[in-house]
Amino acid sequence: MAYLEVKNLKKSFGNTTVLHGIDFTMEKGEVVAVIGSSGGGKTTFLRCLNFLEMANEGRIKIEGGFTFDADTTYTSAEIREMRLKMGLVFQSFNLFPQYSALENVCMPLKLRTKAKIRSELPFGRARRAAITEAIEKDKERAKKLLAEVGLADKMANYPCQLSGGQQQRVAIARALAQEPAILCFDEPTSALDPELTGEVLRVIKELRERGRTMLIVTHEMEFARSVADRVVFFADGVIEEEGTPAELFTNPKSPKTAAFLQHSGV
Amino acid sequence: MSFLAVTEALFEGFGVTCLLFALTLVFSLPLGLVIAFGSMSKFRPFVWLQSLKSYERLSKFKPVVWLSNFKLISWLCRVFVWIIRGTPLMLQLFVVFYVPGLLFKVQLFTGDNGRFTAALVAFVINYACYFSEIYRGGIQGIPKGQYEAAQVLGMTPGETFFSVILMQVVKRILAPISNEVITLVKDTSLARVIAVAEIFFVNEMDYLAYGVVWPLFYIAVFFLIFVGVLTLFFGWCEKKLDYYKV
Repeated sequence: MAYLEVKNLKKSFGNTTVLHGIDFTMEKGEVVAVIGSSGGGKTTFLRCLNFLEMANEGRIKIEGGFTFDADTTYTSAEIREMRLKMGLVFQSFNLFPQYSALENVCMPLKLRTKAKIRSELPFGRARRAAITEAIEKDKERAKKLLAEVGLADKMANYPCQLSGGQQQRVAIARALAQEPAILCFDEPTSALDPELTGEVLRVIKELRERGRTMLIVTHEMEFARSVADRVVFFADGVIEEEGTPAELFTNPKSPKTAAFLQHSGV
Repeated sequence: MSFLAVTEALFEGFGVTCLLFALTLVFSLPLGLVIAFGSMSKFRPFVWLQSLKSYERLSKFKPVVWLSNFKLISWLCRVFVWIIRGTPLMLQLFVVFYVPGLLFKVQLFTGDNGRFTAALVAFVINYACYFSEIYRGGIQGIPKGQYEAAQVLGMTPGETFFSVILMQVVKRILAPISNEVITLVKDTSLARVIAVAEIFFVNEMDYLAYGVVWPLFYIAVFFLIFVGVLTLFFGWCEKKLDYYKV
């Protein structure tokens, strides 16, 4: 049994079919890079995994997490529950501008902590004390995560005071704080200039060392080669080819893969 | 018509002006948000048409397609805003104050405060419509990525609005709102047309009957100071929100 199992995932917008039945599996601790030209369905695939788009057909299953079936209707609470098993780091960071780096990381945690304690304890001083205590723990955890991405000295800064690379690292810490089973990256360095790209890629490499399960959509071929256990090539809404970086980059089987790699200068 | 007597009368009228101004804001700011949400509502009461078996055949008939996608609440709110923004405030004052009595024989605004209440109702409705459009622009201008980030982090729509969206909207709309608020200060003088004893009304005898002009300039000073204070206040607010960019 694979850790993540995607079966026959299909998605179309109106009359345009973007995903023509994706079958995909991932093991725990594996790092998979997704490459492919624009419009190939990589991002839509990632968005379906995070339920930002609802797949029209197919199944998504995470071991010990959830099973999503496109034929079933879910309540929004159930979808939220499933979403938390998946983390997503966006191309454009999407930090909340009115919160400091630390608040960006711990605010979602706080909201959940509060909601949980409110549903467990009756209104009163005991509940307030419990909330304060739990929030203090959330804060500590957020601080630890920010330190892990190398931003221990930037916690009080607001997104507008941070460089793109720093913002993206805050976004990574924010996604990690939810303790997702799988952390997804949607072109995490595409909005960054080459200088800043390095620091984000370093953080992702460190996460790999720590055994994080990650799914990374990227245009950085060199990075995909060095960080991924497996590379998946998307073309026209299907997985055209997959394999270890060594296989896929040096010896592509499909002509489409070969052409793409040639254009990308690999 | 001593300076002292005029000052006294002006302060009395200015009190009414201030009260009208403050109460209008208190009611129209939240009401505007309700109207804004209404005009953004996606509620389609006839969407069930699309689930009909015969819809495929019916959909050749364009009005059916239109009806099935018709957003009723949004449409009602937009039409309402169009009417209120499209007619003079002065006319609305007359309508609110006189029409219930003349047309329907109901005396809505009686008693000592009747005229003031009528003016307040007209102002609240009018300003809520303007505010609603400012809110709508502010809310719709928030990038989609903010909503998606909140979704991915497991927030409910309510949490998303209050914890993520609201403060960004506040920052975006501060300048247009301050504009509208300053306009309101001066618009309160329109209440005079239904004889609310605001700052113009109290001194009217002086310049209408006796042709004394200086109280008019005196009134201007009141308004200038009021607007000056508001300008300082909004400048302070803007500074307070300067720590983040949206």
